[in-house]
Amino acid sequence: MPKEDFEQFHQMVLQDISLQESLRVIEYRNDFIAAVVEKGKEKGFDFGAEDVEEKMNEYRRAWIERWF
Amino acid sequence: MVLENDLEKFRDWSPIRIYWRENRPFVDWCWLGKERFTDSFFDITIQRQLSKPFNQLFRHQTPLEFLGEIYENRKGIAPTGFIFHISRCGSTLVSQMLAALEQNIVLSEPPLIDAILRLQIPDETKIEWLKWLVNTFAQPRNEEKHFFIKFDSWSTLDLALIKRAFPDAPWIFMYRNPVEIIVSHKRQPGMQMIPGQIQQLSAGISFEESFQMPSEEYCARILAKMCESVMPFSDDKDVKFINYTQLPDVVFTEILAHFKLDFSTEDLEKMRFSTQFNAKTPSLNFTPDSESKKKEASEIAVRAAEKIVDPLYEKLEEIRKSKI
Repeated sequence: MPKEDFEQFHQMVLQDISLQESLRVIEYRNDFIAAVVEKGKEKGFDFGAEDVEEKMNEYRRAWIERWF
Repeated sequence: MVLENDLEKFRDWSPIRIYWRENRPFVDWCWLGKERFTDSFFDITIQRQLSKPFNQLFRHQTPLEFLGEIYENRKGIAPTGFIFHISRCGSTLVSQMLAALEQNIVLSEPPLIDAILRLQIPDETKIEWLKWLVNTFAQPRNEEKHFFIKFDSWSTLDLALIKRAFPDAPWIFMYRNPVEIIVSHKRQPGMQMIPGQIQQLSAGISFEESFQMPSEEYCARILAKMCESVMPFSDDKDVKFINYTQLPDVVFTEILAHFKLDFSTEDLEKMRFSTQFNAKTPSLNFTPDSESKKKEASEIAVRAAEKIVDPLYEKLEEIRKSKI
């Protein structure tokens, strides 16, 4: 299930500083999303760009709505 | 008990937001790395960090209690000094002068502190959560030695509670000729001058009444409320009153000593250099505007200031001068 796979990979990155460092250096959004999907595959997870974008949008919305 | 390894994962991260999930407070974290808080406001630095793709996707989310674990296991820098103010009176200049030095962590109006202060929870809980949060902010990421917070202007109303949370922190209270502040808010109203935005400030003024009175009068009433709230603390051993007219020299002659700081000549030059720029818009040079603001003041603004805030301003001046 892509969603579950993505959530597991998301948690894995938050626990793994070297994995974070490899993704932090990517400046452009599209390159970054592609790299996240690729890294996920390398680690045995199956999710797509849309799963990554959904999470990014969720956080962006939460930040914008922080006053409400 | 949190393991050292867990704490290490948060070393270069900062809380950026408090939110509630299933009736439980949570903290949203953002990776800052070695980035310092050098902008005029906390949120500007965070906003810039959030433009990075990594920070848009990877953010720790922890229960607020995790900040308590950090408090128990990793003490940050004890607060060196707090800045309270009534808005538009040079407080950002002071915070920017302090932020000019790499040895200082300077947080300017972090909304998370206000978020805790505004919660409808027992004071004891607020105090505990404030200590946790401030301790987390005070974790050095660049070997800093000093830690400062410039509070929101309306936090002056919470002085009693903040002092209970941080009884040893020296603080300054900054103010300015009220009519100049009223003109500044007339040009560009601060959130605190919009009726209903900051509820504790509006206490005693009905919503209808606040919209019926001229905005200058509402502004004067809010300024008066802030000034009144500091009066019970005028004898506090840790406070120094600062008038805008004393800036910037007073930073070197009084504020640094009040905060028990002794900076090198080179550091003082860096601070002096930062005073050339407009504190809120550093791309512009600073130009004194007291005279232009006084000239711009409408009759309503002058009358509102005279009737509502000037007596308190005079009292503040009297107290300040009595302590020189």
